[in-house]
Amino acid sequence: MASLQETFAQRQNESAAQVNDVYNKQYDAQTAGLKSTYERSMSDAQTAAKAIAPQYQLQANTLAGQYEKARRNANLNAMTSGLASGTGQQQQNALRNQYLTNYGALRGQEAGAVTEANQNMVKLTNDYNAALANARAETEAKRNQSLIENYNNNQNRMDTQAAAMAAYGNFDMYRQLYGDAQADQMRNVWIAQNPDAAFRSGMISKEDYKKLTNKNAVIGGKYRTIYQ
Amino acid sequence: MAEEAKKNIAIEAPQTVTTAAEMKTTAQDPNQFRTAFEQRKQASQGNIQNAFDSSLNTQTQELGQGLQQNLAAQDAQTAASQGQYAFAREDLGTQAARTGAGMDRYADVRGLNRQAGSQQSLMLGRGAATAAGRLAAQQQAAEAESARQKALLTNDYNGRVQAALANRDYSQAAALLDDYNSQNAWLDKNAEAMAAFGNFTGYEYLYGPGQARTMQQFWIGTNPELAYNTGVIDAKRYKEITGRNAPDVKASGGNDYQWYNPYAVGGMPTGGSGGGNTSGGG
Repeated sequence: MASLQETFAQRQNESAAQVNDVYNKQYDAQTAGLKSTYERSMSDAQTAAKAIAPQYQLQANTLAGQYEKARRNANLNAMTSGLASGTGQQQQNALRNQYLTNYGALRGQEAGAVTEANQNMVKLTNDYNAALANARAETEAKRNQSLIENYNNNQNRMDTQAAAMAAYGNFDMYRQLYGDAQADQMRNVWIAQNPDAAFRSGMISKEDYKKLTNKNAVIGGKYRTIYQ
Repeated sequence: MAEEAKKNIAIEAPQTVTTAAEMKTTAQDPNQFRTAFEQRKQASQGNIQNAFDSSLNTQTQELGQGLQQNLAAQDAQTAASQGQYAFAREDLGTQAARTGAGMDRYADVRGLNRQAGSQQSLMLGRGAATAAGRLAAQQQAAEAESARQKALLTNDYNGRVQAALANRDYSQAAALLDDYNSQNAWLDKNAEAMAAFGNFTGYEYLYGPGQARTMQQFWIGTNPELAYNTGVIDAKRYKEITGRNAPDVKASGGNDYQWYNPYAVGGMPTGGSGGGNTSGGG
């Protein structure tokens, strides 16, 4: 059988392990839901990001088609209305410049959309990591609080048990709690107050009994022989 | 004189004065207490585990049913969408054929030459192909999105099951911790209550036989009659402690060393020479 010290250490370790188990599992429970939510949000964000390029390419194609159509119409007009070559060229240049401006603006918008999508994904990851860190911090705070309570509960339990055991003349728990000097002092006071019980219980010898009471330890005309 | 003696007393360390064999009593079997407590603990833990497992099973069944319903709804939506695309393809073909026929008639009526008619047909063909290509691309995108939604639904389901499992584990661990503390409180309380009746098996379970023996020693010293009557000590020990014969033992002797067996026929000794402790006494 383990000593009291080992019993207490074992009890402390066992209860602390139970507390730790609770908070490890609380962290898992808090974060399990976060992961699937994050994965769904990230999948949506990735799909939206993938859709940007084709969407802008379609707009760019439309823009190019419109430009080509306008350029041909301008050519046709120039031919049919007999515009001078320079005027026709100016029109062509104006159309081309307008097209390039629009095209540039479109690609600028696309770049902006891609940046926003990327930022959104980075934010999702950051938010997810922050939620994990928050859950970790919250769990650790609760775990520490609970471990302190557990430690105090074990100490209170020892105190209560020490008093209960001392009522039966056993001061070993107090010895464990407060050391030999304290326990011996308590035990000696108890023996001095209860010499008969101490002698009958075998805690003191007949010599000690005589020292305490100045009487022989005589019960029924015979020395008690239990303490030998 | 006595006061002076008290001041100078040097009290020796506690000694075990009664051996385990001497302390033997059939009424106080630490294994019985251990078995009873372990059974109690296991039953309590089993109840907790069953309760949370049952709750988890219900949850996962509901989640599974929800997933099947969602996947079925997604499949139905995809099937409806495919039907729409099939109809749109058919419609596109019909429109193209109709437009082509119209153009042919127009060419005939307007007397367009063969080459011009061919160019028109070619343009129409290209337009129809482009429209069909777009339609196919849209359908592919819709199918890909449907597959993605199904994958997300499954992923959500797995996430929810994982969360339910983790919640079960957490709630169960918290309940088991409460139970652990309750069981310990129960142990302490019962060990104390039993000790009041001279039964130290609870303390033996908690702190070992050495500690229990010290306490029992005290209890025997202060309650020799009770200890004798309940079979914790024999008549010889009773006489050693009190200097008197046990209540049911004659001065001439008797079977002082016979342990009282509370489970023997005849039950508890009632005092006097007819008690269970002295059967066969001489």
